[in-house]
Amino acid sequence: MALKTPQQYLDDLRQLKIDLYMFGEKVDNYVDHPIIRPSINAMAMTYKLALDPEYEDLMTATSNLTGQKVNRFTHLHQSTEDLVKKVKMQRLLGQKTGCCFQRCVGMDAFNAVYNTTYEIDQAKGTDYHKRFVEFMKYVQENDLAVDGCMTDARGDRSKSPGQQPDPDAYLHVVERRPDGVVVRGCKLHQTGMINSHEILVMPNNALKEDEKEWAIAFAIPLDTPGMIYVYGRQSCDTRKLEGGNIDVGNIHFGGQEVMTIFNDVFVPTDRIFMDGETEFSGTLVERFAGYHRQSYGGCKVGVGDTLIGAAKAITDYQGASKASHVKDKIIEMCHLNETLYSCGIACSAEGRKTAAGNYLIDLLLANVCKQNVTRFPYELARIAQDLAGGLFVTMPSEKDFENPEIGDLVKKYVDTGNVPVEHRQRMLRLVENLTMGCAAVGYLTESMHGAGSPQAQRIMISRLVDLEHRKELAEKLCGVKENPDIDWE
Amino acid sequence: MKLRIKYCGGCNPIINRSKLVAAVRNELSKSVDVEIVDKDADVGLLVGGCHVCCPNLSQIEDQARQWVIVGGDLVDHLPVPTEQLPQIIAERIIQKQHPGS
Repeated sequence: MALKTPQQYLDDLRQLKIDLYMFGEKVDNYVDHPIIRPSINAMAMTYKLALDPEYEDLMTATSNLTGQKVNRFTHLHQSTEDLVKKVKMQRLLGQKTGCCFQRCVGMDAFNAVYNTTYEIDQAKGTDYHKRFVEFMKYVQENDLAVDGCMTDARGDRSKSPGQQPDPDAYLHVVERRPDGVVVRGCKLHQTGMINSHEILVMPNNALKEDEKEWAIAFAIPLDTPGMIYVYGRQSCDTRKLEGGNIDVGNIHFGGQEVMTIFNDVFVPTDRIFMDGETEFSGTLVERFAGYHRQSYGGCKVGVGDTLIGAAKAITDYQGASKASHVKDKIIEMCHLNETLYSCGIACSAEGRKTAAGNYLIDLLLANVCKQNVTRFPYELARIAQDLAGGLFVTMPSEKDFENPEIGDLVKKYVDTGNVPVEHRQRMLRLVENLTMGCAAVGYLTESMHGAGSPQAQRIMISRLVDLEHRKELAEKLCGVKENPDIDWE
Repeated sequence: MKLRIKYCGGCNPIINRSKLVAAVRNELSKSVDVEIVDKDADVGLLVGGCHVCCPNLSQIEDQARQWVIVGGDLVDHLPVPTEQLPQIIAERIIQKQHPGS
């Protein structure tokens, strides 16, 4: 079974018995929970489109490990064409769901762990890569969704993992057994955690030589004993409990972020892919972050497409779309969105082969891509709010529109005469959802902090750009330095 | 006629690909019987949603003797009025079915 159906995916989740909490209470049936289900629907779309001939060219690939057709979300990129198709697939999914669809982080972790473990083995004589290849075959053959898990709780940010007053501030090994290790810690902001089958854990940052216990990478099933999940709140989340389907904005899809606690969790040896190799922790983090910074040049663009569509629709509905400044603002939204896409495509087209054989994006361009993503979606959202007008934050609830006493009056004063009142309601709520509601978690704040906060990209850009080369170019042009190129004989 | 239809992934289409294919099949049905196949086709129809038409033809080229390549409103790399796309694509498919005629 190389490709699962959405129903098979949902059936898998129902088999998992996980320790999940929300609003201070334990959640048993999380698959059908109205707050959680939209995020599961978004993940299910990654399964559905892979089976559709209209989308399979982007959604599937041929595995280098098994030769089988696999979901691209489980693929190890074999060319720059694969890297480009990854970005296009992410744009497609963003368009179809209007939110973070949550399966990218695992794909990015696969590719980073694959090439890093190969290089560890080459240097240290370990067998992490062989173990990881076996894990990847299992993932591909069973079409699993895997949460790529990196960000630790981090305690006092001025201190490294080994200096923290509480060593659990960063996930680390607390016990060694003949057949594996026991780990403790907490990973924050885990996008798509509880709609995955497995968790692939990586260290949070570059580590010092005496921080070996924190240099641990491994994979475990979601329902491993000792795992505790606490569902993160999102703005407007309880609207999903109100029973309507207008005020939620996006009526089918959403994202999720989960605090993930490893409360003395056993990891068997065959699932450990790094254990103490501190000198490779920085490489793993840098590559994972690079792949994920590329991802944002696809997924956020797809969501941006839906926001542009919402801006176009609401200005049509409200009779404003012929005004020149409205047209110009929508063009500006398109310009910003396509600029992000250009960055995603560029860092993919300029990718390179790694020693392990899979392809890595151009790290400089991927960091430039993500740096732009920390800004442009906010500007897109600002313009969308400008075009929508204030009603998207002042409009009465959908229940007021149906109230027998005041419903007709409310509708009368929301009616533009151009479209049914409900269409305007729905579109305004979608703008709200994307720019300040549940989806803004993914579209805005995740754009800011996901795959690293803005300063992390600036540090990488400063490391990857050769400023001395640029200085010499200028010095040659103005005569500060001799220019041997000026010799026409 | 055996026809292979291959879609791009549809990330940024400027045409409705499935609607176009339905219209092309409707046009073809006026003159030939069409059997949709995955390989050994007389003609292949590569349906790209935009001008990039990114599917790698070299990976699928052997699935049909001849290919008609659609990339948005381009047919075999030449622009075509959008409303004439189904008719022109169907004509091109029939031409390529009998390349010598």
